[in-house]
Amino acid sequence: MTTKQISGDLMNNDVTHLVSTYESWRAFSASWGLIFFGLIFLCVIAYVFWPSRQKGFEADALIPLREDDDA
Amino acid sequence: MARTEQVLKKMTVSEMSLSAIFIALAFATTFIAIKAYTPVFAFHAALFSLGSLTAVFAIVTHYRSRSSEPTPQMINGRPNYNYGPIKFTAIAALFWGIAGFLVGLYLALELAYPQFNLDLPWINFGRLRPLHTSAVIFAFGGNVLLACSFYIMQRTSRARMAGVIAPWFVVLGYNFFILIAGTGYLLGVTRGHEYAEPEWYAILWLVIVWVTYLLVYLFTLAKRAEPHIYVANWFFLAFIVTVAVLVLGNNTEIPISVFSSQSVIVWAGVQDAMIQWWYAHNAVGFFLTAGFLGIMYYFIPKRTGRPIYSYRLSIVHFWSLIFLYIWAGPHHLHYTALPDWAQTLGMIFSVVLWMPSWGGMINGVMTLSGAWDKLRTDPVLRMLVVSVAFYGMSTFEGPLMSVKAVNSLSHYTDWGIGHVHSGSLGWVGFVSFGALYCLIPWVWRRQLYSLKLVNWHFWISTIGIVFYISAMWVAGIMQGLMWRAYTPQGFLEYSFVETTEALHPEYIIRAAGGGLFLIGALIMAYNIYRTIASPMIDLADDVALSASPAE
Repeated sequence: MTTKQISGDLMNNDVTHLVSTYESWRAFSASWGLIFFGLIFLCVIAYVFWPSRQKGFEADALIPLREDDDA
Repeated sequence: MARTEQVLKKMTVSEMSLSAIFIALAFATTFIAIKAYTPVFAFHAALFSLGSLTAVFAIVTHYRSRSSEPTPQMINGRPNYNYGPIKFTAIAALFWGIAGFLVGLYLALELAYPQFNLDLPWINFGRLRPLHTSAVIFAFGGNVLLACSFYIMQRTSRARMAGVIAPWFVVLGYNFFILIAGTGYLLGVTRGHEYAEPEWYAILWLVIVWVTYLLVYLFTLAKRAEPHIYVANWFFLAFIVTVAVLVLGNNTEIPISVFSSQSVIVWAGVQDAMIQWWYAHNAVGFFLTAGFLGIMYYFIPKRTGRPIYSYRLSIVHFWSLIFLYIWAGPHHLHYTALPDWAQTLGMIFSVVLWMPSWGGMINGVMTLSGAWDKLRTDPVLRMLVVSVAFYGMSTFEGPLMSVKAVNSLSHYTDWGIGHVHSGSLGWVGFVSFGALYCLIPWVWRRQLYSLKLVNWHFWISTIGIVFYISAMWVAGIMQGLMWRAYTPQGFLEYSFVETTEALHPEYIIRAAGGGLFLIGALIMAYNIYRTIASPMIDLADDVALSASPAE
């Protein structure tokens, strides 16, 4: 086997390996990763707009204005 | 014994251990200074050594002058807020702001008249530019963020800031980082990454300071008397945590020696480019946006005397900003070696980002609903609200420019410079000025010297910004069109130098705009000086401070 063949084989193997890792990560991010983040965001929206929380949020908004002491 | 025994004053564990650490650091950096490969690195190591000795001196002096009792957390049932570090950073912000604007003006003049280089290597454009960007973003902006976050964190928690030495370590350590970074640029020390120029040793120091900042914040929130953590604090926490992640991610470098300022990056090529712009765009998103939104969510309600328009919208604003911003970076690399899908992803996330940005703008501006007359009577509030309007404008322009078709015209042109300055002068600058005009009288217990001067500052700076950004729009679009113009034979119609010649008038207008902005800041410095020099007001009169000025 010549040196050229060996390095050629190594290179091919390496590149295939890298491409598959890259492709699988990319596919995972664009599918399960996206769904995962989408679901977390939906939970946030549900938390924010849950009707019973309105009173609490209105009180929280007053925190900067409820400072009783000096400015 | 007849007389009452005084409580024995002892050095605390942190005072002792920190003194020991700083003494060790002084020795280590002196050794490095002696063995350094270059004079510049020796100079920086010597600065570290000097800084460490000063820290030991400060700790011992403070120990000698303080009482044996720990500082009370409450006085007369009220939280005993710690304003010292806030005062320091507020003044530092003004100092660095004026220095940064001045360097920016000089750069604008160098571009219009290259003779301003004076053939000196230290002040050529390449070295001065990072000094300008770092001075305004990290030195001015950073000190404003430190001052306001420490103030808002304590006030909305109704608790004294955690730590005794730690807050001072954060504010002095951060400004020491600025000193190392800034002198480094002028002397030729740089990593060559935009907005991430400081070398490994400065970054190492910054990381220690930044982690302490996060700990001070978290420990203060942990002892809060207010059950709910007000939304401004969420923005500050997102800013602190994300900046830490960004700095660590974009500084994966190995120093070539502990005696050298140089380091070698772990990855190169398109990977490096992607990490760099992931970093840089999120520096915009989390340093210049999330942090300053924290300021907006406190000072606009405080100044108008009305709660934020919608607290729900502020939470949606927060989470959508966090979820979207982090993906927008690839729009800096359109039509490069970056995979096409990544460019498209960056573009789409940038366009979607328009929505939460405008949600935040509406939330800030609509807080004035029912109190619009205050815009006429209170120039400080006008500054805060106009900053939000600029935020809305530049967060519309940004998504537009991230669209590939637009970007093919706007990229690498002065349109980008114009966009950045509508955001930085209009949004970050004005919200900072507005916040400092509120904060400085409040922490010093003074009446603001002159609202009339604030009005002058507002109008002069606004005209300056308009000059600046409209000149850069014209320059950028002209530049982009000239670069892509072909002759009927298929040759490029203009040489590069022809485009620079065509930009000359716009460059002069830009310098004039920057000059006006600097004049505005100088008026502010005078106004603040007179405010602090005026006599302190009584606690009973404090109500007058939060009240609106005369109609």
